[in-house]
Amino acid sequence: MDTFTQGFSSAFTLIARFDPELYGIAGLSLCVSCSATILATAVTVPLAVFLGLHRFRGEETFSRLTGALMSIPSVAVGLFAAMLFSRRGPFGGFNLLYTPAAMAIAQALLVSPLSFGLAYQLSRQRGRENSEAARTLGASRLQTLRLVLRELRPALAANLFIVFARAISEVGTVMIVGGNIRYQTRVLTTAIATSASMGDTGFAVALGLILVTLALALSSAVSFFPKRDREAAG
Amino acid sequence: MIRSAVAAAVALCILAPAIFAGAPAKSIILATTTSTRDSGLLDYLLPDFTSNTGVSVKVVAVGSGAALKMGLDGDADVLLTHDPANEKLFLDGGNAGANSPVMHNDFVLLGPKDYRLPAAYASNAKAAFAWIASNAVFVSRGDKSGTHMKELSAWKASGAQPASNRYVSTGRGMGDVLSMTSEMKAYTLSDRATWLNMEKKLDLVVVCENDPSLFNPYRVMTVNPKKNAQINAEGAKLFFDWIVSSAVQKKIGEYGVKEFGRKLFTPDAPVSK
Amino acid sequence: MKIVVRNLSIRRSPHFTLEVDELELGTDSVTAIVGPNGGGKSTLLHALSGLDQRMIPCLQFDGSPWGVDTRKYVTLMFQRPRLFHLTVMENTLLPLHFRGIPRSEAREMAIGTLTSLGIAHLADRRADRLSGGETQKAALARALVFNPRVLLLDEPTASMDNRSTELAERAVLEYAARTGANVVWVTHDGLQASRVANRTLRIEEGKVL
Repeated sequence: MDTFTQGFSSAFTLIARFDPELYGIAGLSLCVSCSATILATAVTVPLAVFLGLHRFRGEETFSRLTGALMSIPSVAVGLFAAMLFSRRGPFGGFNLLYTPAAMAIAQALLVSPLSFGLAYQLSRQRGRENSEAARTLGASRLQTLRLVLRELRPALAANLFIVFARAISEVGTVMIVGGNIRYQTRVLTTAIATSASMGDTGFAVALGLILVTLALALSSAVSFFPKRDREAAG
Repeated sequence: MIRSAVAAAVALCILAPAIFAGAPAKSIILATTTSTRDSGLLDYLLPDFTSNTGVSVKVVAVGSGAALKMGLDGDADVLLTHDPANEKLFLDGGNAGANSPVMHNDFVLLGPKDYRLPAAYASNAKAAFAWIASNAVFVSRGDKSGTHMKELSAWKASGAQPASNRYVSTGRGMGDVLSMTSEMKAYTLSDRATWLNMEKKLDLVVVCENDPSLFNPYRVMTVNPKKNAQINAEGAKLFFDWIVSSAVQKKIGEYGVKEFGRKLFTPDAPVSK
Repeated sequence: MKIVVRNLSIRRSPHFTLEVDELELGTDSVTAIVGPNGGGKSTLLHALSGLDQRMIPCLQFDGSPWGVDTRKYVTLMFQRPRLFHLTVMENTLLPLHFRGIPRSEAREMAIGTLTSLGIAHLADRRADRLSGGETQKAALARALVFNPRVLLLDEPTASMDNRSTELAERAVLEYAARTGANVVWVTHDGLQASRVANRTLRIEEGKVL
């Protein structure tokens, strides 16, 4: 019980005193995961919305496949990304391994199936419905697309938070690709792992508190969106 | 409100690469052991290197075995390891540029506070390991690190091997293993530096030490730049020259004296010109 | 407008295929489609709307196949109304906006249609704040406002109370009489069918009886 209370009190002190290493780690976490979310969204969402609106053969199977990929283990992606970025790998020339940039790219890879899957389901159900309604009212293809995008926008925005939450709480990918190097590539999740193993309870708890607070804040942010949109967003 | 939060996040991400791009051109990858990292030595020494040369060091702490493999594959620029047998193979294979002994310390055998290992074995590693094999639980690094290699040679020398239900092979770093050993009230082998650094947080004591077989020498090697185009040979050489310099060697010998009352590493580099 | 459907075959599921060999809907007609649930009423309506590309070759409007403009005068009101996240007025103005009708003229038309359905007072209410019956009236208004020549209605008064149903039936019949449009009205209420339609079709298990 002693370590428990001790851990929490040192944690609060670190947080209140704005310990630079602590906040540096938190800041890096936010940057990496924000970048990853934006990158994944920019690439997958337009594609997902487009595919969702149009029928094609094997849609059902495709949909199930994207659903399965959404839960890909983070260490698997980390391993794959590390192979891509290592000096012997196809992208070795960019010297990206053990950099925050690589971490962001790898995390983007990790959350892309989620980002795609959410948008695709949304587009396939709500998007298609709205698209048909617009078409039957005489809208041109462009008018339909604009209307559908406007209708889906709140739900797509809610998805951003879901994707970001997944990114910032993962540890396997950023650990392997970033190397958890102190002051350089250490983020909240990898730092918790290290501090815990080194017996640095106070620091670990402080990191944990920040991470949990962020996670809760993100979940509540989703609730700002109208219920109907959230239901559709799944 | 949400719009401005999103805008702020986007701005942050655009700035982030500028802040965190981390000097890609002027950095070296140092592959080393978890014990060197967990001992705190690198945190103590490295800032000095970076401020002097402007080269940042990416410390990738894996086991000695993995570090040597990174060197073999050209994935690192400089190696700092403590596995003499495999280091020799590495050197014989022409994989290194410059190399030198850099420091040494020793290993200690640790056990629970109420340990039952006979006091007579306090400096007899062979007997101690033999006793543990039949009487206690041992937690192993299991990761081909220098510590792991030393442990394996100790079992061999003692002629005994613990049964599988009393041998915990973790694949984790030294800090992790020490925490686990403390929790499990078991025995383990550790380098003295990491032990001293973590002693206060653990419920373990030294049960065997100062046996000559527990000698732990560290070697620094630059990776042969011919391996690939990404190797920062310049940076690696700067690091090598810096760590064997008499000033830094002196610093190594001072590490831990203030905090633990004794030095954690003894400098070993031959006196430079 | 004369609508002809030939050789239509839609497979909804392994057990159910809607088949129409030949069906003709003359000008100036209000056709009711009745039948048990799941029998194919909505499916036929959906096929007539031209939303399913595969069914278009089976359709003929006034002797011509489906053309680029056909979409602009055939409209479908879905069983579950699909209003957009806008106000009732904005929803109603949409089809007029799609056709490039100037704002002021469009507003006039919209107000007229909303009034005829008794929901002019809901013009500025957001679509997600309407009751079930109000939603259907708004969807119906949106479908009528641009004077389509073919009006396909899928159970348009299902959620309305008696008074609203009366109002809606009257509005549609007036509209059909005034413009000569074809109305195809799917309902599960046999009495409604006899009230509004001059011809009733029965669809059961995918077959037109």
